[in-house]
Amino acid sequence: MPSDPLTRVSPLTRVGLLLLALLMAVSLAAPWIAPYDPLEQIDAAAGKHQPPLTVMAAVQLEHGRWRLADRVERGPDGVIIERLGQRQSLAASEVLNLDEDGVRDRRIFLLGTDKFGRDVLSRLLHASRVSLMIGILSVAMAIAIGVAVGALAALGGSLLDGLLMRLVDGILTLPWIFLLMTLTALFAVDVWMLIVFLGMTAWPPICRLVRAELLSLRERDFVLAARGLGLGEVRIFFRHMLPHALTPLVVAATLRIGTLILIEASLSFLGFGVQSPQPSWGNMIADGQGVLLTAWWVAAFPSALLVFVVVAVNLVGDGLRDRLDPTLQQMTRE
Amino acid sequence: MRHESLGTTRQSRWLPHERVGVLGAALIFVASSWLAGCGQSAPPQAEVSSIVVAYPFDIQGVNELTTPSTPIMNGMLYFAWFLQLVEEQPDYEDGPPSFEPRLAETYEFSPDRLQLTFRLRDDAVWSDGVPVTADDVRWTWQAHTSPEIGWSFAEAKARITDVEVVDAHTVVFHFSEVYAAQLQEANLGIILPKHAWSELPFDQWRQNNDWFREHMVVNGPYELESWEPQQRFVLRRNPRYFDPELPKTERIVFQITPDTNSRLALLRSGQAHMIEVIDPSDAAMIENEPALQLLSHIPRSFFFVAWNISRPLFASKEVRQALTLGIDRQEIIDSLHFGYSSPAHSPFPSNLWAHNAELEPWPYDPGRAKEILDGLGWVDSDGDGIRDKGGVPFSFELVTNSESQVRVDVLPMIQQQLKRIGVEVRTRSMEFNALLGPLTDHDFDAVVQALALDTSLNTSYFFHSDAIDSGYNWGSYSNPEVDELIEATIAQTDPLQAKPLYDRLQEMLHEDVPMTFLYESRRLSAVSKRLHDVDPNAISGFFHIRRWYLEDED
Amino acid sequence: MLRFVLRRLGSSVLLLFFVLTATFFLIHLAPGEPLRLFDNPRMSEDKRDELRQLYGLDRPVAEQYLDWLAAVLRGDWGYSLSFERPTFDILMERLPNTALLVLAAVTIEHVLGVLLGLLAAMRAGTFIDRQIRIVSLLLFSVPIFCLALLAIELLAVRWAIFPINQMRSDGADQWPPLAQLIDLLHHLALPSLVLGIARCGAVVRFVRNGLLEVLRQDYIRTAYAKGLTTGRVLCVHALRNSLIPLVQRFGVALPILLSGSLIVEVLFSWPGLGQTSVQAIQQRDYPMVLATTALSGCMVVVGNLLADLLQAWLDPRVRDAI
Repeated sequence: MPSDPLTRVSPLTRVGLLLLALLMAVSLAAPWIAPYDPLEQIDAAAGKHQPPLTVMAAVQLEHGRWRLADRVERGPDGVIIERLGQRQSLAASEVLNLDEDGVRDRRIFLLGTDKFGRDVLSRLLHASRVSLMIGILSVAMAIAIGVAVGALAALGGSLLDGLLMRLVDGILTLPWIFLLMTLTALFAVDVWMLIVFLGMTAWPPICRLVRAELLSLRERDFVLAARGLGLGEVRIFFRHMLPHALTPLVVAATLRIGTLILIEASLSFLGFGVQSPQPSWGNMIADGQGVLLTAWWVAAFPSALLVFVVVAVNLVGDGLRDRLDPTLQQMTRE
Repeated sequence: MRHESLGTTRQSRWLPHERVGVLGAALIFVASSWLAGCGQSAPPQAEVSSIVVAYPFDIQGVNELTTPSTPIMNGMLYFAWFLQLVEEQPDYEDGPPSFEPRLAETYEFSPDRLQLTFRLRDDAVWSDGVPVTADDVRWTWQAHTSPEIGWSFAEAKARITDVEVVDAHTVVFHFSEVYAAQLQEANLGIILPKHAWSELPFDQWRQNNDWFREHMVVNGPYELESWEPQQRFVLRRNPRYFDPELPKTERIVFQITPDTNSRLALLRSGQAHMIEVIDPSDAAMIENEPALQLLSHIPRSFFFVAWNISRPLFASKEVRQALTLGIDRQEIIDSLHFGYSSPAHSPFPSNLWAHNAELEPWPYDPGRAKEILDGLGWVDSDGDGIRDKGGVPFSFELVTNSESQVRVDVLPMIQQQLKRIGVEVRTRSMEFNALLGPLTDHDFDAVVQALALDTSLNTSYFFHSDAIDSGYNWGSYSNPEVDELIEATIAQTDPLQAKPLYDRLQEMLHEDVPMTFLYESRRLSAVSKRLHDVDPNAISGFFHIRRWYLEDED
Repeated sequence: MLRFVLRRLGSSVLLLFFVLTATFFLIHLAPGEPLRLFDNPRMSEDKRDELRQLYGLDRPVAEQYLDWLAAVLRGDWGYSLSFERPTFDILMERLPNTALLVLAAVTIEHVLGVLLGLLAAMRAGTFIDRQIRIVSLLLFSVPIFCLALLAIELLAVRWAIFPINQMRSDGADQWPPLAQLIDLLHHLALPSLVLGIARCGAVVRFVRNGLLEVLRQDYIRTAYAKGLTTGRVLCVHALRNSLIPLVQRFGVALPILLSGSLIVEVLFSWPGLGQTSVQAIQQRDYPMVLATTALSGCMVVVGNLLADLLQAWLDPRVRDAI
């Protein structure tokens, strides 16, 4: 078994891995690097659906209120702002952030704004954080359940094996999207519950994989030898068998993340997943659904990122698999 | 309703884009490509003008007693398929609405106002030829009040003691007391076909919607030609309608189109002629289309934040006033309604005769809001930006129903506005179905909702203390003077004397702030300029659908 | 063989039973109740109780459950509360629509997938192979709703090549059968293409990898040695064997296919099961939710079984094993 997968994978996979890692780092750091608050509706009327690369002056008024303006000029006793196509003058006493030419603050919307004038870039960063977290954590949960049940089935005797495998067969044949929709519609779900629900539906394929791997490992020489040495079953499992089953597990888990990110996006898109105003890729795309032609940036950026991440995840998964274990090809796909 | 095989009057024109589409489909479905030529030469048939309405929801049945009440159901039942005794008009700006004859030619109160006599027209027949008579009216009342059917609006008939058949075309409603809305309540509901529907016993009405559809006879201007669930339903001129001049249009097709963009696309491409309700955000686009026009009206409903007064946080009216002063309604209107609304201060819209125009809405005045809260001892003593008093932070949950995007969008705006005066708002939206339970159980902090007024302007369901236990007084508002005023408005049959009572009631509500009234929003409809005499109003978007007609295309 | 079928059916039915039971209690415990559909401000609590009684919703959940179970065993799936009609009738109206969409999509998915996969395998390692692999990877990664939105916006709205939604044109029932068929295909084209193309990426990869695997086997070398052409070897010998796992995959992929069709139905207003179930959940239409869950479960179970049987028929080794 190879010890250092990274040194042997193809350049494409390495690039995919690097980009994924970068994106993950950026998402984790979203609260610190996002230019603005993803929920802030600074001036919902004037900031609505501004295209990417828009720069607007931000006029601060009393009581924490702001006005976004296309242009600000210094007038004789205050400022004249151009907002929503109209010129409007504000007294110097009203404006808190005056300076010589106008006002001190401005907003730069790199990826444009949504219907509330919220910054799409900030929302996208926070959405990535949520969507990636859901993908990764629910896969982690699926692995935990899958390994536990798979090990029980493989090592717990034929009766238990038969029972558990029937259960797995059954769960694989359930229309999960219907049940997920029911669950999320009936109970006010937060992100954590969504992770639990998704994890609970995603473990059977991993369980099958682990079981098959363990069944074949059980008959291998080194395991028989360990048993011959009188080592305990638990010790053999954790020290000798599980490390060997790790490779296919890593591959399967990687690919699974892509699937789960897609499922989460679909649920959120339909309104059953992550709830607005908290951004996720799915509900951002749903927000932009109505304005595909007029404000394409609302849906386009989250869509592109979503596709990019799933492609990267698949590239990495495929690359790892091809390098590590070509015989796995049939088993881990879908 | 039934598929009469009048092949000659069907619409079967292939629109140009459809022809292109056939080719496209054929290219992809290689196997069927040879069929394309045949499709284009569909047999020529005489054309009949059909109005097409793109509508988001389907109808659910044809019997209003056992079907949930929705705008589309009411529109079809009241204006297309059936007749009411009289028809309420939307002329309520200067006084209570007037009533036009429908099934009844005249109506008359007895001197003591305990009897109301309707004289029915003698030329009204059901679509199977059977005349509509006083028997139908009496039997309809029996159905309305039958506990076996359990009509959800049966309460309206509670004070009608009997409906007496004098002769085939005369019927008398007997009341147990005199009150303002006697005519409205006698008139509520359509007249049902006794001869056809009495075959099914009342205790089998629920869960038998198909039966009514199969046994549907109508007496209105339109009958139901066909209904493909979740796809479309088609109205067809009822040849037995008493007025031979009406309806003006042979067919009206309702295309069930849940997706907003698809509806707009149908309208803009000329495949549909009307969308009953459009979002304010799409209004500008409609106004820019030369072939389309925008119609608007003020619906008889009010939008508000209701405070749960049974919770200590909202018990004092000063707190409620301060919160009201802290909500910037103009900002909400500017960003969500694009100028199609105005701030409100009363449950009665500004175009309603009972509206109190003297009152000024609470202004947006965060400075004064802060002073009031300071004065009440709500100060930020721990420096976390949130006011507190006795160790309790001023923090509450604001809920709404998730179906309405505008309401969902209002939540974060109020959240941000109240944050500026040091009040923490947590927001949550849930389905209306799940929300109603907590509301009627008074298990919530504050809620953003809208309620519709019924024609009698009866506000007891929302503000009377009796409605705390049964009704929609969700916030448990209770003020004996208001109770008395409401009862007086209900009993007062003279609008001139009722007006001061309504004015006073609105002053009280303004002062007590059981609810913060947010805005009065215009409802917008988008209509093709070829479609004439469409008059969406507060009564229905399909009001006088019998007069709609389509101008010929040049 | 019969034993195998019975065993598979038995375990599936048992599991379906558990799922339905769980769903039953879940929706009854969840906040919100179906009769709120009828609610209005004039309704008193007494009136609500009266209605609950009419619908039998006032009794303990356990009792309602037993009643429901007894009715289901009699084949009675109850009345839909929002439609006020037997759920079974409604589902039987919608099932053919979903079946049509799914069948068309599956056909497109597999025809396209196998062709592209075959092409990629024949040209393994070349430019064409790389292009096909990239495209299939992309299709595999694009969420169906993105593809659907794009298709609607461009093909149905902007260029108006396809109808925007629904299944048939108004008045189509009066047209001659041929025109009706074309009309149906015209409406079917976009949703089924979206669903089929979105899913064919996986099939391409599956077929390509499967073929390459088979091509390494001894009997293929024998075939070449006998002087058969590459095309013939690929199409006759290799393809047949690489299709067997594809059949097996179909069974596993059916639930995913159904969830894809759900999204497509919602976006294209296709009057199928998916749309119905979304609506039923939103309206707390208990009997309808249970019936749609049961029906979609049955579809998957039967689909799986068919896939197994088909596989057994294709592959003698499996046939002997069961």
